[in-house]
Amino acid sequence: MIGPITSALTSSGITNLVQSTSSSVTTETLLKAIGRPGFILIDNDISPDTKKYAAAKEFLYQATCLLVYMALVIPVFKKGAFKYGQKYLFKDMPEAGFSKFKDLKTYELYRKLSDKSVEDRQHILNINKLQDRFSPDIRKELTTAEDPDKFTKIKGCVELGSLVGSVLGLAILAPQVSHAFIHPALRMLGLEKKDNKANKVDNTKTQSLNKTA
Amino acid sequence: MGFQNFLRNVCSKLGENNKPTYAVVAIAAVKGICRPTFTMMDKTEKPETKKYTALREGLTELIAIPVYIGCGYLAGKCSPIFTKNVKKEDFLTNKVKQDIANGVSNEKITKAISNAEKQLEKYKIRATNNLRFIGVCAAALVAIPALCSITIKPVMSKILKMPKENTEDNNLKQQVMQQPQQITNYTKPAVKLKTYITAPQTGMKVGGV
Repeated sequence: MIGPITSALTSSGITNLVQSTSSSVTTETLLKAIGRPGFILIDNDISPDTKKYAAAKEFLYQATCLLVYMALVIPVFKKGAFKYGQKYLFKDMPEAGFSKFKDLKTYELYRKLSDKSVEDRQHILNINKLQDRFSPDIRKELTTAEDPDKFTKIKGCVELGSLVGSVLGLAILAPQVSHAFIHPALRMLGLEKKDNKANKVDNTKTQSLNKTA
Repeated sequence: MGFQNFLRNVCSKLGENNKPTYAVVAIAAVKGICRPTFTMMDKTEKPETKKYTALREGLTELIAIPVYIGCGYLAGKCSPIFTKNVKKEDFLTNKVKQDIANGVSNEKITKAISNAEKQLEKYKIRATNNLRFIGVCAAALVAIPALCSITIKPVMSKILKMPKENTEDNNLKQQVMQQPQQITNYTKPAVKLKTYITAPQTGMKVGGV
């Protein structure tokens, strides 16, 4: 018997999230944005001001990573990988199924529908008038096949693109972007002083004042 | 062609089963190489600061990789706890179940049973992968920050041979840093004036002493 916990654990929502590199990396980055500043804040060995500063910096870093990832990496690399697969990598391999889909959106819609039962698929296709989006053989596959072809090579190509995008985006691009963004943001929040040079001038001024006094 | 075939094989494997550890381990590995390199290339920082920061960044990712793999693996191993009660009968329709109970045996039923077996296998793989993802999330949220905060300081001090912080010194520093207590009893002077005789008589002093 399938219990409620097992049912929730194996739900198609979680499965799709796990099987998609971009969704899983987004979730993990989101968790890091919560967890890491949290750990800094509960550390008793640091002074409250340092804690505040370090936690804000870590949160801003992870938030920037997330934004860069969602805005640039996901659309560019996922779509790019699909096109690369369609035009170069699997061009001479019709069984991969790239020629059956117009674009990535159509393939993703097909994947979503293929998880459902035949009756549900027929119903959704009729109600939402989605038939026109698919080629005749794909439409046939969706309306008749008990276990439709998943076209794993397309899925794999898209995931490989996401993986490369995730690595480039999170390990190389996001740190550079965050470096430019974090310090002004911290200054705006009042957690960082305006300019180190200005501080130095202030320090020399106070020292000279002390001497004269 | 060799590289193309390699890419095709990778695509096939990823398409069939995309383990949640692949992405996080790849990111951590590249981060572990690139971030220290970028830090060391920064010309505005002092060499000592660069060395410290680069080592810290490298160590963090070095800890993260085995923790991601370990947490994912351990969480995946818990899959039988959740799926032990799931049987192939759960994937059969009521009609087929009734037919089996009535002793009916035909090609349709055999096909339904073999389908149910396949579904059960897929179900178990799905549970394992989803648990692995939960393990990886737990690693990112709790295990890695906790482990880093415990291990990085001593490892860094060993590698860079930094002097150990003396606890007595810390206590002394804390005492010095503490704000002076407000004096409520004015019958006796708080400090003897003799102690200030040798002190330089320049600059502003609090309380006009």
